[in-house]
Amino acid sequence: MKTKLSYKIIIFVMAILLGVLLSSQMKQDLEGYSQVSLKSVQMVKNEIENYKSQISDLNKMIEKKEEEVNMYENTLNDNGNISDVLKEEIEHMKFLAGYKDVQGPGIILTISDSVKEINYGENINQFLVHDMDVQRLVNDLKIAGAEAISVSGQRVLSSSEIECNGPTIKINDRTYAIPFVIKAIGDPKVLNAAINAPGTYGYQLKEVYELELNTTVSDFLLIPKYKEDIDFEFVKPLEEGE
Amino acid sequence: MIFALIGILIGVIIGFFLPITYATSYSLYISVAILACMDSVFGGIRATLDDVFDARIFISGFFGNAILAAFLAYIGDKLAVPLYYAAIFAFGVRLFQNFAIIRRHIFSRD
Repeated sequence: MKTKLSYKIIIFVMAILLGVLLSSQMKQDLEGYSQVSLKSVQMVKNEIENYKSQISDLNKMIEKKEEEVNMYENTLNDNGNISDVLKEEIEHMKFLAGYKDVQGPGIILTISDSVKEINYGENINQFLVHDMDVQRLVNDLKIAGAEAISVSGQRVLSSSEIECNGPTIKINDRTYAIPFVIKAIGDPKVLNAAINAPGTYGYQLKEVYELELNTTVSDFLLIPKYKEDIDFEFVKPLEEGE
Repeated sequence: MIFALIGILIGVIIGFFLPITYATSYSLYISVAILACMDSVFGGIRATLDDVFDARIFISGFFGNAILAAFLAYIGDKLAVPLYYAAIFAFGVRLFQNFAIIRRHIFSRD
């Protein structure tokens, strides 16, 4: 070994430095440290934005509820009757839920089977009104912003079925035959366009399948309330805080 | 050879007792710097065995490589390109080459 001692000392000192670096790095808790890409940063940002908007929505809700509580307290302080306020609220809830007769501008649709003669080779099913047709018309009206809909006098709610029942259709467990009268309250122009504009399903029924589809725009429509009881067997409300 | 190993051992022990800590976000730079230092120490051992050891080159390489490697890692972080791979690759290859030469020196002496 001809290496000079000074060289050895230099390398020795540097090796000590390297050892210090090594151990100080090892002391760090490196679990969970990973390279973060721009994409994941963006994703986390979006998530944060989402949560922020949710929080602001919740805060708005809290404000609204506080206002309500204030209203109750005020009526109590003014020696008013709290049951009046609650009754008013129940009426409003019934109105929202479809348990009240409602009125407003909208359109009336009557739809019945085609009256044209069937030529040889044509399928009679094409010229009949099916449950699907009514369903799609109702859906088109909903898309156009209809606020209340009835089919043959039955209020259409979220639970209302439109069921094929041979030549008739079952709505809210009641059977109805042609002609089906669909009433919808909403912006009459938009509702009318949703049924009669070229390219819509209503237009197709009228022009291609030649069903008897008539629309009347009306400034005053009456739509009856939902008359059945809603009984839930499986659905239970989620307890708050669970 | 042996004195370098002893030095690393002593350094590790000192490091464990020294209260040095730094933010986790710097650990990437430190690890790249460690690789550079390892490369330098192995290079120094090889140079002593080859009798071409130059203290200036060794010390400048030790610190310069470490700083350059950390700098590369930093730039890569800013550009979102893992540039520190370049340092890992270069130092890794050199580390093994130096180790191979050291082995040959040790066994040819016997």
